[in-house]
Amino acid sequence: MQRLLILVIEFLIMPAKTIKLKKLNSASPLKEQNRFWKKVEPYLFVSPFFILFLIFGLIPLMVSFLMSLFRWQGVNPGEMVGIGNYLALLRDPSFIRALINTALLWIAVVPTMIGLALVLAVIVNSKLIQWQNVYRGFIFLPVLTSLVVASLVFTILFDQRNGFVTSVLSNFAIEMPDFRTTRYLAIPAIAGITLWRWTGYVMVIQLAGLQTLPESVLDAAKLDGATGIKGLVHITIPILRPVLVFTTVLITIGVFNLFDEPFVLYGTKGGPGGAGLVLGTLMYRNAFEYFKLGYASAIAYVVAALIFAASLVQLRFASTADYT
Amino acid sequence: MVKILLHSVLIVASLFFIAPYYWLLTSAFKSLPDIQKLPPEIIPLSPTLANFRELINSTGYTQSLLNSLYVGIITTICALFICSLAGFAFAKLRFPGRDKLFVVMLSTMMIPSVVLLIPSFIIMTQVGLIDTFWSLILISIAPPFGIFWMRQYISVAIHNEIFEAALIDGAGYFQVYWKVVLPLISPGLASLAIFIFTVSWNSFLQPLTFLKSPEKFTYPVQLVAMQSITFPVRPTHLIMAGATLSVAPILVLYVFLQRFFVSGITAGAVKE
Repeated sequence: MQRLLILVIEFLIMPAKTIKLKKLNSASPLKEQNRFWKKVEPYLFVSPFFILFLIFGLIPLMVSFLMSLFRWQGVNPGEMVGIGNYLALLRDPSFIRALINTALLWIAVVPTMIGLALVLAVIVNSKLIQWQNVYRGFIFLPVLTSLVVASLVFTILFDQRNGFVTSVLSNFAIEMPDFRTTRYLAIPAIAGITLWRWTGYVMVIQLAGLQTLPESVLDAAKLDGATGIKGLVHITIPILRPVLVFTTVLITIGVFNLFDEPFVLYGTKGGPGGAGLVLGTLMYRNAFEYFKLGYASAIAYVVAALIFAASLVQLRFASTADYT
Repeated sequence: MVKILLHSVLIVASLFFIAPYYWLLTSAFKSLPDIQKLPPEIIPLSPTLANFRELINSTGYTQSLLNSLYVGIITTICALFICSLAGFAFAKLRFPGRDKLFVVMLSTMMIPSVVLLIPSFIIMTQVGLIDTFWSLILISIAPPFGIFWMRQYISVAIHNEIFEAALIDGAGYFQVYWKVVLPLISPGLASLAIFIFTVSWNSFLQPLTFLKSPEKFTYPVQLVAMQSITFPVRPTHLIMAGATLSVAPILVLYVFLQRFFVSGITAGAVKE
């Protein structure tokens, strides 16, 4: 759940006092044995997480970092290459392509999704609208589908031979090129599915943010003549800024982790000229088709570093907010 | 005037989000020629259950749905227990190092899952769990987010007076957790359960990587396998029926428990 990255960072930079809880009055005198048990019990309660994390988190993490320093094919002991894998990445045209595609997807998805979700959230939140819950429910509906199902549905809808949308468009003499073989359609196709699947999710978060805005602020703004779009730009958006940054970070992390949609649409080869290749599918191909585990681990670490850097930049952007 | 405009924006947007859904659900009840017919039938004129019959009789899809269900349910139950117990300890118990452990736990949320995929694949292979459901269950039963959420929930929902009263009555910590805390946090547990089940139900990358034998596939893996069939034709009608079956349980949950879905997402996202 890297979508919570920002939460964690925020939590870590929060003053320590907010984490600390009130002291409990120590309980009435207990038997010695009982007392010992009471000391051990809390650790037992939290231990499942730490044990599982050790086995499936910490150890894998160290192993994979070591692996990224080796040329390792899974069978042979492998050969230490130091940062060789990372250097090789820079000369790998597939990696560069995947990196560019991921960047393009980011550019295509972030502004549209944030904007669309914000517009919808503001309208749904408006006092002029009845059946808020119904609209919210509809817009949120795609979030329930698995990404695989969403991608399959779109693949079939836009299928070249007898897809629904293609056929309807051809009725109006509009020829829809095949998104699976047309280079320039790869990014829009992936971005479109992502937009359909996630906008409702982002909207729900922004809506929750909007609903915490104190009514008095909005009323005061109205008295000052900031209504409608003016109010939105000058009052709502600045106050909502933390939520907007949070959702931007979520989407950014999501884009860097994209796998299901490009995998279903373009497989691990990335479709026409690698136009649908992203970092996730590239890593999968290297790890589980070429068995270049060391090289694939290096890709994974680059992705992690990018996510971390992007989140930090966006958080810095958030913390310099000026409310005046 | 403004009102009509706003409503129409919402209606257009709703159509955009519902239309593919509607098409999916109706196609599942159409025969293959009908799905591809022009002009398309908005309402199936001759609805049929034949797709479902064929799906159940001739493919491994039922098995894959059951597999997903099994993994989802076990994961959810284990995760609820682990998260609420740890959340309780972090929220209400005092023990040396508690806050440090909590911060460590939180910081593990920052590790992207891509980094863990390859090494956890290797570890699963080493311990002989590859190609078993336990490989999927074990990696998802202790989500740090769940623990964080439960901790927040418990510190608000359980008043210290209740907790202390139970302790003075001589109950042990686990008894307090089991008899006092658990019954009081059921709404929080319900939200967490829905969240965890949905994530598990819809996950694709891990099952794709960890499962090898077709009879163990979860439904997303099975659907992708079905899509790669192109001879004699791609079984679009079966994919639609299969996808419909996979969405149905979540949809039913959603209709009745909408607020639990949403509270799961907004938890922690908005500071109140």
